[in-house]
Parts: sequence; C-alpha cells; structure tokens
Amino acid sequence: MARSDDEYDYLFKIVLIGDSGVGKSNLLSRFTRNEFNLESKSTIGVEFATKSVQTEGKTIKAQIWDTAGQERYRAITSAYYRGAVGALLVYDISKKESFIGVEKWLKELRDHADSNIVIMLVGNKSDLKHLRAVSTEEGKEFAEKHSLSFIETSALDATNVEQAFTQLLTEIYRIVHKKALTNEKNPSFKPALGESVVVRDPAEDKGTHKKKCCS
Amino acid sequence: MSSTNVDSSRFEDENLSVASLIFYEPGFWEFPQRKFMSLHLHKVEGDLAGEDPYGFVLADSLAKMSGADNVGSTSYEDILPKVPPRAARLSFEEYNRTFSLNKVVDRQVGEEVKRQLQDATDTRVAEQSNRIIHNNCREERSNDSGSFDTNIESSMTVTELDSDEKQGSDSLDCALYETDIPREVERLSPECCRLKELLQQSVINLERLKQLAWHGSPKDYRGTIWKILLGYWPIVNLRRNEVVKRKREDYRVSLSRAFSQSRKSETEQERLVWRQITLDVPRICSDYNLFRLPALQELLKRILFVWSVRHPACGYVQGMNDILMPLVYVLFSEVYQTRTSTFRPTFTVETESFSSASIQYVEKDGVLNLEDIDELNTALDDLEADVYWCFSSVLESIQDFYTFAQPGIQRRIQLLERLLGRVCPNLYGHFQRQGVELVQFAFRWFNCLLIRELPFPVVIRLWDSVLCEEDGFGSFYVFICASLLHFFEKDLIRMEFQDLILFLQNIPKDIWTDSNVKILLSQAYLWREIFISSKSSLADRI
Repeated sequence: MARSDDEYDYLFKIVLIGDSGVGKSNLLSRFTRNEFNLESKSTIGVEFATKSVQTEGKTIKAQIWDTAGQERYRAITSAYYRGAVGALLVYDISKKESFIGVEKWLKELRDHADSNIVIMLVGNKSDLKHLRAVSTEEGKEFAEKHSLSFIETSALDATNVEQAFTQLLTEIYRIVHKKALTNEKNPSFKPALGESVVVRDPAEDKGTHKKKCCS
Repeated sequence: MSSTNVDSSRFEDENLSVASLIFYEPGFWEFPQRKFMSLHLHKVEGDLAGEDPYGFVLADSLAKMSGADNVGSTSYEDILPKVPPRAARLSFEEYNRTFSLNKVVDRQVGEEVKRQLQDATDTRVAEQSNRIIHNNCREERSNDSGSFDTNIESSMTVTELDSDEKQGSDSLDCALYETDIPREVERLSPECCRLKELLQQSVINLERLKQLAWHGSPKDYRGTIWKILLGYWPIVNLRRNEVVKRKREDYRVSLSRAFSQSRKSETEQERLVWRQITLDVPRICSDYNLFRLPALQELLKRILFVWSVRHPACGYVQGMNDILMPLVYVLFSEVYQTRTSTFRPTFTVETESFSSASIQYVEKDGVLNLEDIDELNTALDDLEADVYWCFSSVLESIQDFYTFAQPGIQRRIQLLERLLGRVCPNLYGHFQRQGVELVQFAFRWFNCLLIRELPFPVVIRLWDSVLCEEDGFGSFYVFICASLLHFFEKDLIRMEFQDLILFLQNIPKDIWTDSNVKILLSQAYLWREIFISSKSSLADRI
C-alpha cells in the first residue's frame, strides 16, 4: 500500500498520558486529523496515530500512542513507555484532581520509561476559562520544579495543540541531534549508518529495515 | 487512516471459506443416508438432552455413521472437519423432524418407544416419524403489568398419518408440519415457527434452542432467547415468574444497599468507580439515540455501579459500558415491542432474502419511538434488573478480563497468537516481520468484546451465536478474533507496521453483510471444531 507520508528524516515515538477524561484523545485527533469530538469514546488500552511535522528543515514523523487514563490499564499502558522518546503529560485545567494526579504519572514515567524521555506538561481545556481550577502559574511552577516543558492547550478550539506537539518533537530533535554529534556511543540515540535517524523500539526496527529493503 | 480496498467477494474462491459457507446452505446435510441419520438421532437423544449437553456424542455418532455408510459417498468429507459442526449438523428440516419425533417419544409413547427405537429398523423409523404430535399453545400475556406473566396451556394431539404416503426421506416435510399451525404464525419463517414452538414448551430444551438460535435469533424472540441462554430465565416455564421476581427483588436490594452505603461510608475505591462511571456513560458513542436518553444513562450508571460494588476484585473497568449496549438494546426493544404490540403487527412478514435474524433487522431507532419513553417508566425498573442480571451473566465467565493487570485478556491474546500461527501462518509471519504485537490491537477486541470494532447489528448477530456456545465469551471469541484477522488477511498482508495498526484499530465497518457475518462466524466455528474437543481445553489443543 502506498504511503503518502513515507518520507521522513526522524521517527519519534511519543506517548500521551494523564488522568481519564482530561482530553488526551481529542488532543491527538485535533493534531493528527484536525477533529474534535465532545463525546469521544473512552480509550481502551492504547490507541495509535501518526503525523509528520517539519521542524528546522527536517521532517519528523511522530508515532503517537494514546493511552487509557484509568488506573486498571496501567499494567498494559506502561509497556508502551518502552522506546518512547517523548511524553505529553496532560491534565485538565478545570479539574484540580487531574493536576494532583500529574505527580503519580511522573513517577510512572520514571519507573517504566527511558530516563532520557522528554516530558511536556500540558494543561488542556484552556477554553473553560470560567471553570479554571488550576492557574497557569501553578502549572508553570510545577513544570519548572520538575524540569518539564509546559504549555496550555485547548483541543476544542485548537489553541496551541499543533505547538505542543511540534515543540516537544523539536526539543527531542535537538537533543538527538546534539547527542549524535557529541556522543556517538550513546546507543539509544545513535544514528544508523548512512541512513536517517530512526528512534523507536528496537523490536520494531526489524520492520523498518525490512521495509527499507523492500521499498 | 489509510485507505484500503476490501474485496468482500474474494472469499468465494477459498476452500475453507467455501466449506464454511456450505454449512449454512439449507439442504446441505440432506445426504442420502438421511433416514439413517434420523434413526441415529433417536439413539443419541438421551445423551443430547442429559449427559451430553454439548452434543459431542451426537457429533461422534454422526461422524461414525457417515464413515460406516458410504452410501453415495460424498466429497463433503474432504472439506469437512472430522466432526460435523454442531450448529450446522442438521438442516432445519432435520430439526423439525427430530422435534416431532421427540414429542412422541418424550410425552406419548415414553420409554416403550424409546426402547423400540434403539433397535429400530428403517421401517420402524419411518413409521415413527409419521406420527406427528402437535402442540396448540395459547399464550396470554398480561398487558398492564409489563411483567412476563405467561400462561401457557398446552394440549397435545397425536396425528397418525398414512404411512404409505409418507415413506422415504421426504416423509416429514416442514410444509406438512406447518399445516396445523395457527394462522397468525403462518406468516413466519420456518425458523421462527420452530423457535416459537420450542419456547412454548413447558420445559425448554436448551440444546435445541442453542442449535436453532446459533443461526441467529429472530428479532421477535431475541430478548427471550438471550435471557434463557444467559441463564436468567429458567428453562422451566412455570418457574419463570417466581425466579424473575426474586431476582428483580434481589437487584433492588443491592441497588439500595450500594447507594445508601456509598452515601454514608463510601470507600475510596467506590468513589473512584462512581466518578469513572459518570465520566464514561455519557461518552458511550453510538448512532443509536436510545443510548443518549438521560433516563437510560442513569440506568446504565446504576447497573455498572452495583455490579462493581458486588465484584470488588474487578470493580469497574472502562469498556464495560460498551458491553451493556447489546443487552440494553435487545431487552429494551423487547419491552417496547410488547407494549406496542396492540397497534403494531406482532410479527413482520418475512421477505425471501432476509430472515428476521438478519443484521438488517437491528433497526437504528425504528423500533423506538422516543416520545413513548414515558410510558415505559414502570417497565424501566424491571428492565434495569433484567439487564443487570444478563450483564452479570455475560461477565461471569470473563471476570479475569477485568481483575488487576487483566490476566484473562493477556491469556486470550496469547491463545489468539498461537492460533494465528497455526491457521494463518503467513499473516502471523508478516506481523512478526513488521513488529506488530497482537496486544496492540487485540487488547481492545477482548476488553470490549469487539463492540468497538464491528457495527452494532453485527455485534448483536454475533452474540446470537456466541450465547449458544459453551464459554462463548471466554473461548469462542478467540476464534472469532482469529476469523476476523483471516477475513482481512489479504489486505493486512500488504500493509506495513503503521497501516496495520491503524487498520486493526479502525476496522472498516461498511463491508458487513449477512453473508460476510456468516463467513466470519462459520470460520470461527470450523476452527473451534478442529482445535477443541470435549476432552481438552483450548490451551492444550492449539
């Protein structure tokens, strides 16, 4: 099957995490398909989407895994942190509880994800100004304290959604680029010989190489 | 989402699929040794009803029989699994014959005839089979209470038919049998007639019900059939009112306990569960307006909460709300139809092309005139209890899907992987080369029992058959999932990692027709027959 977005310089695996109902799936659908659905179904386990973006003259393809927010799915979703180079940790600015939950999600990432993972804290539903329960300052403060990037978004009115993803991907690209230049021995970010850099789960690399041979 | 061309007609060329299709062709089982078959059926009748609830003895006997009598030896054997599939082993005509005979055997002639039948010759069978007993049943439904008060008076007559005329294999035609059926029923398809007959028995023969309903429940009887198959309604008609009354009362007590407790001393877990349920129920995404009704959403929330309080090891897991949908739809439609039967025709006239079990008959909102919902308020309380118990029954065998770390789903995915390696080795190899793990898509398949993957009418039709299966949700579903992958194999084999995942997480919904659903089901059936015998579990055989 022909793929329209087959050409890319980098492939980054990203995970979307956060409490149930904060709008992870809608952030993803807004970013990848420019769609928003007020009544979107709850995510079961993990769902998948991709999109390519241009940054600093490079095409970066994001392979995004959207995870279920419910506690019960933690065992299955944490398996997807493996190989992820970036994470969007989402909370709902109108639900204090989801902001409190951010701490717990950070711990999840530390326990299961690569220690180099780039994390961006996302306060979603910024359109709900009259219901705001978490101030922008609180979010910023928390992000600084834990060395995360921070942005507020609204999947509903599309504010900052593109920026959030692009910013995260750019950040990862810069780190990878820098590391590739300074530390060629780092196995996680080492560029493949004579090829573009593909950062993804080693288990999936087989598939990638195979594809490149065949196509 | 990548675009994919799905060629739904291509299956006709494949041997396995052809074999599975044939199982559904009326008359396929009418091979020359038919009369021997009916003899044989009597021999195993006792086993079928009692000690052999899954029909293995019957299946084995039939297999032996067709092996021993090579009369007009068939090419069927080449394409059939070694044991004829249970559900397909009899054409409806054959069922009909057995029914008539059994009535004679069970009620009129009793042990005497049974003994005779054991050493019966062809002639005897022919003689026996020419007796028809007919059941005239009158059903009185109390219309005001909305309960399922059913008084059934049965009167039986034995009709002796001219045995000369009725010699041979065509001695008992469906048409003949139907001669005495009340006028109202004449418009029904033969399947409906037989189901109606069966459901009016004072003790319902569960095995026969399963054999018939496997091919799809007609919509008018679906609610009743599901309730019986799920074990909510007892098979003894006389006990039904008492049991249902007790169960409804039981639910009401649980309901008040769950909610009064949660108000006073709710645990942290219960608080989280309730929060999650209230978050998820409005997110049930469906084209069916039924699920958007506020009264119905409240009902769903209560059912889910009561269930999770009563099953603390599982609690509430996202996706359980999806599993409620088929049950709610079917039971709700039934109540609604009962209420409106005074001004709506009770039975729809069957068209030639579709039986009423067709997915065409799962109407979107045609069955529900939403303004009438107020009339249903009294019925809603009972409906809530009914749905609760049916839901509880569905989840009974698959509770380990929802306990901590969801081991049941993990196990089913492992089984699916092994099965796929055996039945679709090319696809399995392709998945491996592409780095696709089954858990990446099949997790949701099992968690929501394919309700997210297939169109709603297809799910309803699927459940018709699944409910007839032993451990349908726990084991037959593994075969359905494998069958689903096999169905799309030719598309999947051309895709790469990303397209594979996207496709499998968003399976096209517009390709499903009755015949495709049959292909899906019968392929699953075929593999189940091959890989599971009465003596070994799924895990041992694959």
